[in-house]
Amino acid sequence: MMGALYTLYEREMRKWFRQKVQLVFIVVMPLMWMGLFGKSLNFSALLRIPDIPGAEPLRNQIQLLIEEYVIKRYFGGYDYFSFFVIGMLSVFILFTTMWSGMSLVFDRRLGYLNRFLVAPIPRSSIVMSKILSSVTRSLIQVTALLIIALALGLSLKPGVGVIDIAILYGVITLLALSFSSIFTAIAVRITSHDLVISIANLVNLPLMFTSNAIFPVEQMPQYLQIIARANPITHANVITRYHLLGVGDPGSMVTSTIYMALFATTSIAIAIIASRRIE
Amino acid sequence: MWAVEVEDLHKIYPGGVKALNGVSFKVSKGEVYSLLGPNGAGKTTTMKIIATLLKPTSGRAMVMGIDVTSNPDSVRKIIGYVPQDLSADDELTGIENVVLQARLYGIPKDKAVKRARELLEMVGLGEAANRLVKSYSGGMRRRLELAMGLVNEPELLILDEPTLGLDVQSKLSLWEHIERLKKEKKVTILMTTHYMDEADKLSDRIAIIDRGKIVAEGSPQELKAKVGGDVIMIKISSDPLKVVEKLRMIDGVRGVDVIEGNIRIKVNVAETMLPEILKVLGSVDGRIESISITRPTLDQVFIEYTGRMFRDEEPGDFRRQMMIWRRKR
Repeated sequence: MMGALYTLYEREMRKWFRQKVQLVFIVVMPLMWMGLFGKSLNFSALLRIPDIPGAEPLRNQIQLLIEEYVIKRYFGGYDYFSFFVIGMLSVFILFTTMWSGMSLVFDRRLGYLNRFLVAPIPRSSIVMSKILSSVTRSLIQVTALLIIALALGLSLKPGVGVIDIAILYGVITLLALSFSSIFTAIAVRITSHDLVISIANLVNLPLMFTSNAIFPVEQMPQYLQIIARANPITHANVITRYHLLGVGDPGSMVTSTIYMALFATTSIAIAIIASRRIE
Repeated sequence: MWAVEVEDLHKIYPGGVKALNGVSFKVSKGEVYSLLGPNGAGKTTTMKIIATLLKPTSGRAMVMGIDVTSNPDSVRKIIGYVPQDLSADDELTGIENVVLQARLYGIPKDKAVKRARELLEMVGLGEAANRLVKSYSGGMRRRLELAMGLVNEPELLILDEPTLGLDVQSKLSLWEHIERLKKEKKVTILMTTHYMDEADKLSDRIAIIDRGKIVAEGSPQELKAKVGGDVIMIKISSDPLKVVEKLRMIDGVRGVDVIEGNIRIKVNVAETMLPEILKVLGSVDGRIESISITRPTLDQVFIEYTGRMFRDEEPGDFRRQMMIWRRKR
C-alpha cells in the first residue's frame, strides 16, 4: 500500500512542479483577494473618522469608542486586514482543494486511470495520492501566502512563536485533508469535468460566506450562525486567529480542534470507502 | 491449464445495452489469440473483464486458472494490459512512465529504472526515453504503452486494438514488435482488432465476434479454408470444358467450374495443389496462357459467418481519440 501510494503521490507532485505557471497562480489569486479585496474592504480604515478642525478631542474620543466597541468587538482586534487575511488562509485552502477531484476525472478521461486500476494496488492508494498531494500543495501555498500577507501589512500578535506557526500548519493540514477527501470522493464516479467545475463553483462562495472568514459569526443572524458553526473553515479560523492574532476565546480551542479532527477523519473514511467504487 | 478461459460471458451495461451475449473461448499458453470483429461487437468489453476492469453480469473468466472476479489482485499481478485508449501520461517522460508503472508492481526503484531502460530499448524508444510523452508521435506512444504493459513480465499480455489510428509504417513497426515478443518472450497474447490483415498476420487463432457472440473460431488458415480455401484461375488455349472432369478427379480439389473461359478451381491450399493440377493440364492439348491464385481473406470469412459485410469503420470515440492525439503532438 505505502509503496504504491508513494509512487502515485510522487507522480502528482512531479507533474505539479513541472507546471511552473501553476506555481504563479497559487499566489496570484490570493494576492488579489488580499491586496485588492482585503485592502478595500478594510473596516478599520472605513470606520476612520477624518480630522475635524477645531474638534480634535471629540473626534479622537469618538474614534476611540468606535475602535473599542465596534472594531474590537467585531474583529477581536483593531486591524481588520489581519483578521481577514488569517481567515482567508482557510478559504484559499478550500479554493485549492476543491479541485482535487479534477485530476481524478482527467486521469479517467485521458485513460491514465485504467493503468492504475489494472495494477495490483489498493484502490484507496489512488484516491489517497490525490488527497495527500492536495494537502502538500495547500501547505506550500499557505507558506507563500503568509509571506505575501506579511509584506502587505499583516500584523501578528506580539511574541508569536514557533508553536503558533506549527499549530497553523496542523490546522491547515486537517482542513486540507477534509476538503480534498470530500472533493476526491465526489469525483470517484464522475466522468465529466464540467460537473466538477459546477460543484466547485456551487460550494466555494457559500462555504466562504457561511464561515467567519470575512465577518464574525456573532453578528450573523441565528440561522447563519448554525451553518457557520458546522463549517470547518470557521473552526480552523477560530484556532488560527487565536494563535496568530491573539483574538478569540481560548476556551473554544478544544471544541474546535476536536471538531476538525473528527471532520477530517470522517472525510478520509468517506474517501476510502468511495475508492472501492472507482472504475 | 489454459492461459485464458472464458465461459458464457454476459455483460449488460446499466441502461440496458447488451454488450456480451454468451462469449466463450480458451487460449493456450504461448498463443496469440485475436478477437476480430467490428466496433461495438464486444471486444473491448471482453478485454476489460479479463483485465479486471469490469465485472461481468454473468459467466466467468479465468487467467492462468485464477478467477478474475473473485481474485482480481492475483490476476493483476500476472497480466499486462495495453488499453485501447491512450494511457501513458503525456506530462511525464517516456522513462518516467515506465518506471512509474514498474513501481506500481512493487519493483524497487533502481531495478525499475534498469527494467525501464531495457524495455524502452526493446521497443526502439531508447533515445526518446527522456523526452516528454507530449512530443511523441502516435506510433511512439503505442510502443511506449507496449513497454508499459511489459514491466511486470506478464504471463498474459492483453492488447486492445494495438494499432488503432496508426499510419501504415507505425503499424508495421508495431507488428514486428508484437511478433518478436511472441518469439522471444513466449508470452501469451490476447488481442482485439478490427483490422482483418492484422488478425491474419499476427494470430495463431482468431475468434470472430459479432454482436456480443463468437460466431467462428480457428487459425487464420482454418477459417479461410472453411470459407472455401484458395481459388486458382487458369486460362488455357484449348477448350476448358474438356479438362474439367479430369480436374475434378484430383484429390483435394473442392470444385471446378468455368467462368468466362477461365477454369476456376477451388482448393484448400493453392501451392500444394498446383503441381498436380499442372500435371493434369499437361496431359491435354493446348497450352496454359495464364495462372492466378486468389487467396480467401478474412473479410470473406466475416461475410460468410455474419451474413453481413465487414464495415471497417472507425470507432465511436475515434474523433475524441484523434483530438487527444492531435493535442499531444
